[in-house]
Amino acid sequence: MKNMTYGVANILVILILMLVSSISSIHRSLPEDFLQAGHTNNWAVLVDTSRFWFNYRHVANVLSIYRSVKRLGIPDSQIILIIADDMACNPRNPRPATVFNNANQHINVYGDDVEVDYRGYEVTVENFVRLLTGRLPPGTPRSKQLLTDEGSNVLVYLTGHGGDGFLKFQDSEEVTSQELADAVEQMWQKRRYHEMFFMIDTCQGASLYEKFYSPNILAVASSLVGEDSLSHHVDPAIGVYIIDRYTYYALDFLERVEPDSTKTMGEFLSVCPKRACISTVGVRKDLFPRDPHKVPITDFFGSLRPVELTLSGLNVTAMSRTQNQSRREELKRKVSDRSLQYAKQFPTSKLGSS
Amino acid sequence: MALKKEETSDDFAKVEDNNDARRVYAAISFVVVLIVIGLPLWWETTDVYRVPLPYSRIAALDSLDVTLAMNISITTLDAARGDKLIEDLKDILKTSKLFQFTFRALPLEKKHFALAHSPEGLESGSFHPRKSGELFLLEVPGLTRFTPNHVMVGLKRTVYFSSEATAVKLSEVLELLLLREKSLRQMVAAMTTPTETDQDRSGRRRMPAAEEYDIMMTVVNPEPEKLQIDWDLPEAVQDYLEPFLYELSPLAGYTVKSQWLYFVTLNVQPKLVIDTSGFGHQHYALAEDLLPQIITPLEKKLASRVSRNPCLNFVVYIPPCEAAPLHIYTRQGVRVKGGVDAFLSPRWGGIVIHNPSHMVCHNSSVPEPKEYSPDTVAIMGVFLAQLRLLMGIPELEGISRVGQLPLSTVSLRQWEFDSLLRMRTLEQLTSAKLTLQSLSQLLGKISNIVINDAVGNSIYQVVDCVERAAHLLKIGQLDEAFNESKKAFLSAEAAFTDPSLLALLYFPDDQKYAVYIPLFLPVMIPVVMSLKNICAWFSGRMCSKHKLKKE
Repeated sequence: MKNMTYGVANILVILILMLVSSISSIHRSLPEDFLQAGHTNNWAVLVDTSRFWFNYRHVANVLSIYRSVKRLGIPDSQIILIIADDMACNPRNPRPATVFNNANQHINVYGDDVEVDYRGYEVTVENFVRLLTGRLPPGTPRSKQLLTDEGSNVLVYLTGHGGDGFLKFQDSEEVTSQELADAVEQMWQKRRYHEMFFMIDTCQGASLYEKFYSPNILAVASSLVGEDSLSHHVDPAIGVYIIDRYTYYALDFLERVEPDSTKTMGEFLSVCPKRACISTVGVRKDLFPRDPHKVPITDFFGSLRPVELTLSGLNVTAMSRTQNQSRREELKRKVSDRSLQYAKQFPTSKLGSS
Repeated sequence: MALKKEETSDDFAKVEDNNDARRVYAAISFVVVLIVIGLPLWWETTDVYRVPLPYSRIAALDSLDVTLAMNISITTLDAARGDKLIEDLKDILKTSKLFQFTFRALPLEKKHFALAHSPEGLESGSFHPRKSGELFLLEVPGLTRFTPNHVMVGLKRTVYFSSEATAVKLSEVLELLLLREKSLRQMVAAMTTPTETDQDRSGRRRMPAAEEYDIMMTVVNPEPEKLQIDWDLPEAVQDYLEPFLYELSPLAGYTVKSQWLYFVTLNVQPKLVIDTSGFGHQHYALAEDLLPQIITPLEKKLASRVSRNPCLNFVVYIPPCEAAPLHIYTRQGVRVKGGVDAFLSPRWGGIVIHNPSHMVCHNSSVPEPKEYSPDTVAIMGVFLAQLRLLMGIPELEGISRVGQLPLSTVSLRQWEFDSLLRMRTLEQLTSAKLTLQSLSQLLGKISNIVINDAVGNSIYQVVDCVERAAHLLKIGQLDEAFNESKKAFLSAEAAFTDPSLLALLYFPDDQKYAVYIPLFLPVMIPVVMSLKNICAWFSGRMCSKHKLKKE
């Protein structure tokens, strides 16, 4: 008798467990949310604010993130890469035309298809703020503009030397956290982003995101105020520190992400525990309405556009040849030349120019 | 002897007094130069240049009453029925927050039915309203002979209804098809409070408002050595696309470019499906989940980034014979019916997969490269359907017993054009209003934004245009309202993104004080302290004068 009830209880427990697991698996396999995703495209702004040979690791940081983001699908036309670009061709580089992010020197993150948008002396606070707020002078090439719209998810990655409330640009000027917060607010006012993921790998990086006051921003910093972000390891062959700790572990995570991955931002935010990073990773979630554990990582790092099937076309007949001809004659009379022509070599912007 | 002493001490006192006076006058001159003249001069010269803006008018725009006047004329066989319909429609539509309806009953005239043998024949009549934004409801007694629907929406601004149509049905047609008030209100709400409301489906899909659009037509041929495509793309564009764009040209300008891409593949692996229906044909299945992964690598090669205008990409992919025919399978695992394998991406464009015909591919007697002429009508038909959706002409949900006359030529229905005009006018008006309000908010919050004369003038122009556009909408002039709203929108964008606003980027308040305080504070401290001495000396003189007077 006792054995029977024990057996029945066992069976009941197993049935309940199966039911629960089947229900949860049903929830996990529904990809319908993707269709309702609010964003339609992805952009990335990757900035390295330091120059000189001994800051090799900052360039390696940014270029590694650039490679990951490109691999996961964001095209070059939607990545703004801002680096001083003085590493690969530096006379002190024992491996010219390369930048490595690991002492094993397996991957040359510089490669031969890197597209740097702002380099050398163009990396200034003014250009950075103008890029974010969209107030670039007319005639700026399209590759140097951040042409986001209200459906764009923007990834912003900053690295370099920073302090409490500021980030040093090119050893000659600095951008304060208030200026950055104001620039992002101007982006929000013009609806130039849908959601923003702000990553910063500098000393006391958390101070840079503390002044944000615009909605839909998720921010992570490699160290809190009062702590220094440390570099990971030295490459004796090159002679400098080659990558920073937080970016090293972040890359470790991103290397295992594929374009169709289901990993979430919540996992990414907890990627570098204190024993590995030595500094404490700071996260700011209060401006972000969604739960990071439910946000797929490809929302910010990949680029998958939503699609809709078109089930039928219009069943139309063209205008008859004579009608078309007469309409085009009329148009020719109205407009001087509508013949085919090459696009202008240096397109100028229509807005703001005379 | 005593006198001399007094005299000398008096003289001494006088000399001392004079010295004191000189010292005090010198101190006063320092105070005047530094504090009275210098301080205001410094404040003026380090002030951020801002043209005075009409802040109160900009704030008043928030409560600007934007309503659209709608003139609807009705003609029925029986005048009493017409009046009743007008009463009922007024009653049903009185809760509309966006539209102000004006109904009038027009008498029936023979000319309405003169040449009509079918609803299509009625289209060529002369009674259709010519002014943008007006609508005409016409009762056609014999409508049920041609169609089971009670209401047929025409190609121009007329709606035909039969004798059985009710006012409720007509109001549904007006709300859901023609006016789309819910969609308009949602669009305005999504723009004003984006954290609370999202755009609806057609709003997410529609290209943002702009002055000019680029359309890039691309033909992708992955193996040109095996399959040669014989297609005159410029001619197809001229025959099918240009008439349509010509009709849309009052809304925005268009530039059409075309290109051919060779040796570019889709970068996804379709599955082979063996057809068991007995014909022995097999085809390749492309799952709907893989479709987003096609766009991303393709976009890199499309080179659609030459100009700053928003770009619509239309791509025709012609698979090689070994990978043909390629069909899209929906998420439920069923092949799409209708013979059209195409998909679009909101705000980006559309891709059509056009399979080479079976005869061309399996004709082994023809050496490679095999020549194939695509079916222009089919491809351009799909592109036109996608272009309509991307420009904002929504696909309409079906209402029972309501139909639309099918489009036969490459054009859009006039009421669709009116609907687009309304939507774009509201969008541009709201955008200009929001830009102005955010600019005035930012000017209050961020102290080092410069507003120079040119930007100030454009802001005044924007405020004028917005007020005028709202007024024109209220009196029903839809065309002029659109033009005013377009001017307002473009000027507002130009004013907000003018590079001169950041002219004083390196001059924030805290740095201003940090630069000037170390220069002027050491000088000001003795000057301020000497104020005390000056006051004391003056009050001393007052007292001594009083004493002398008393004495």
